[in-house]
Amino acid sequence: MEEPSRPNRSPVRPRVSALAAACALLIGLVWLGEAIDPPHLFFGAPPAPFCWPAAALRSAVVLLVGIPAGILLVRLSGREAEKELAERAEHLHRAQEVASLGSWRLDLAAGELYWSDEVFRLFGVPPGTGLEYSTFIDAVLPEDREYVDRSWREALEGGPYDIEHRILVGGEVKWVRERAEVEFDASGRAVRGTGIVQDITPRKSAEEEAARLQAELDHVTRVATLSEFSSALAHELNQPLAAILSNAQAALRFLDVDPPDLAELREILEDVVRDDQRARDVILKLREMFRKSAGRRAFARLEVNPLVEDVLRIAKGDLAMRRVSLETDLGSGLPSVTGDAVQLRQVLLNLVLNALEAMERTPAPRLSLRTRNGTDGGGVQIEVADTGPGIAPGEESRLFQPFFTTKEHGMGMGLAVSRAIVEAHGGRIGVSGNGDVTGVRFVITLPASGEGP
Amino acid sequence: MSAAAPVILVVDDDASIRKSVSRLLRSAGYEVETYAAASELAEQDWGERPRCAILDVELPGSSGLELGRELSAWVDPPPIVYITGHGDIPMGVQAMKEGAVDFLPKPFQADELIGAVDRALARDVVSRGRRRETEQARDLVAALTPREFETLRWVISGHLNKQIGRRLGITEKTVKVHRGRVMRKLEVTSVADLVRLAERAGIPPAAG
Repeated sequence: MEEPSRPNRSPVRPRVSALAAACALLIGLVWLGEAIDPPHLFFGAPPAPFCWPAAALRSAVVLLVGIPAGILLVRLSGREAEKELAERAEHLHRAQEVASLGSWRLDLAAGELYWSDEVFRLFGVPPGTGLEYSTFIDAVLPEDREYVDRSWREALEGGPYDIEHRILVGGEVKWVRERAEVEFDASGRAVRGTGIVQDITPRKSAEEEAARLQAELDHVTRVATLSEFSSALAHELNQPLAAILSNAQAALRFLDVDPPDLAELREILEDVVRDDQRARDVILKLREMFRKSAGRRAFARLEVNPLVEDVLRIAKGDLAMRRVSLETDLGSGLPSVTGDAVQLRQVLLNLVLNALEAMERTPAPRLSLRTRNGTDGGGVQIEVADTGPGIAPGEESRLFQPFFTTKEHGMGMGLAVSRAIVEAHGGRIGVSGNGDVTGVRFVITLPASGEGP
Repeated sequence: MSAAAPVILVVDDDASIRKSVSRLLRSAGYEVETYAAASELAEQDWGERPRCAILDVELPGSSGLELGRELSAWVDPPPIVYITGHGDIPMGVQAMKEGAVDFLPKPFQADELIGAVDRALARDVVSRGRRRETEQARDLVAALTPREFETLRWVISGHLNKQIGRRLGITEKTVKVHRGRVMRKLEVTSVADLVRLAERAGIPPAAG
């Protein structure tokens, strides 16, 4: 922790000033001893002439009284300083408590670790417990241990140490932020580390809550947009279709008249052609819209794993709400891809939400997400698998057709759009059964940067 | 077209629908008047011709259902058939509750539309006949003097001439004279017909 900016008086200074005060008092008393003439003062006797024995006696009395008084004063002021030290320690302690912020020091040469009271409290370790690096790393959530350990080793090499990670305290997960500075000796060897650790659980829960709300909002917007869109589309297509049908049936009736009114029939057929064109325009407009949404808007070099993590963050609320267990296996050293992060996230989110919806009535719903190197021809594969009821054999190819849906209120657009996006990225999307268990497995293959379009 | 040929009022903002629907109805022998907006359709005298209205539910400005409510307030309200591009079940239920003859989603088959129109016209004929009878009955009743009207009300409540005379403070003979005039003016020959006519004209029997 930084020193408070208000300059504090040194605790040594009151001791010196008390000593000075005691000396001054002593001299004053000696002088008073000379000057005070009690018989003259209290009984009105004529002032006594200066007399050596009397002066010596008085001085002796003054010394006898003054020296202990001086010593007492010095003692008292010493205690004052101790009290102030204790107060400052208490102040520091209280400040750490209020900020949920503890400080620590690690002497690397001696291997000694010091924790402030607040660190003991934060980590749920009884004060006075012998401290080692392992005391700390054992409290870190197993999933975060490797990250924390790696960060600290990098700090010892001269890297910055400013991390956020989780700790497990009495079965409860807390988020902490850690910052530290490492001091090095002339030869560049790390000798000491000084740092702080702060409880940021409230902030993290607020962030998670915000992310959950955002995900919910995204979901609602997505559903609302689709249903509005489908209703508008139905209307746009129904108008010309209704006109064509009525015209054709009117024409059939006019044909029964003898002789048929050929001019009327010609007019009807012209209208049928025009209305058909109108329906075609609606479909072309729709295609155009898909192309635009699947177009190359903002292609950049991307890592696949962070995309998957983003999507999991967004879907976290849904996963928890539906009690779906999650299995992730994100490969390391994967090549980067070229694409639009927003679109690829949309595709992944769509697959994840589809999976969650498919597992609505599954007793042990499990979602698994994997990334790995492409099996043939390089690139990256992203796999989204669920344990839902799966799909009927033969439906695999129809799944990606527009307007094909197995959902009660689905419009059958999600997978069609997803495929358009993946293909615009030079990739492929495929579907199969989920191995031994029930469910579906979607595999997206994207070309590595430089390989693709 | 003869004076009694049915006329169908079609209100839809889509020109293709107006044209094709009116063609289909003409092929079935109906006369059609088309309107692009609710505001274009105003009540007018179509005389004795049966009529009905085909309203698009999704009209710009006021909805088809609102227009339907306006039409129901006409002196001679035409029966209504709704057509819709994306109407849902609740909307259809609401329309039927408000007295619509049918609620057809587009695209519809010719038979569905013509069938609905035939039913609407039949309903119009029946309800118009009923309205006409009421009007005629009221016209006849309007010709009665106040004393004759009072006599009518006592007669249809089943009182004897003697009782009516006591009630009105006149002799039984005078009651008989009034009664004879009432029968003549209302063009009926039996008390049963008299009761039926009074009911049609909405005259309540005298109480007491």
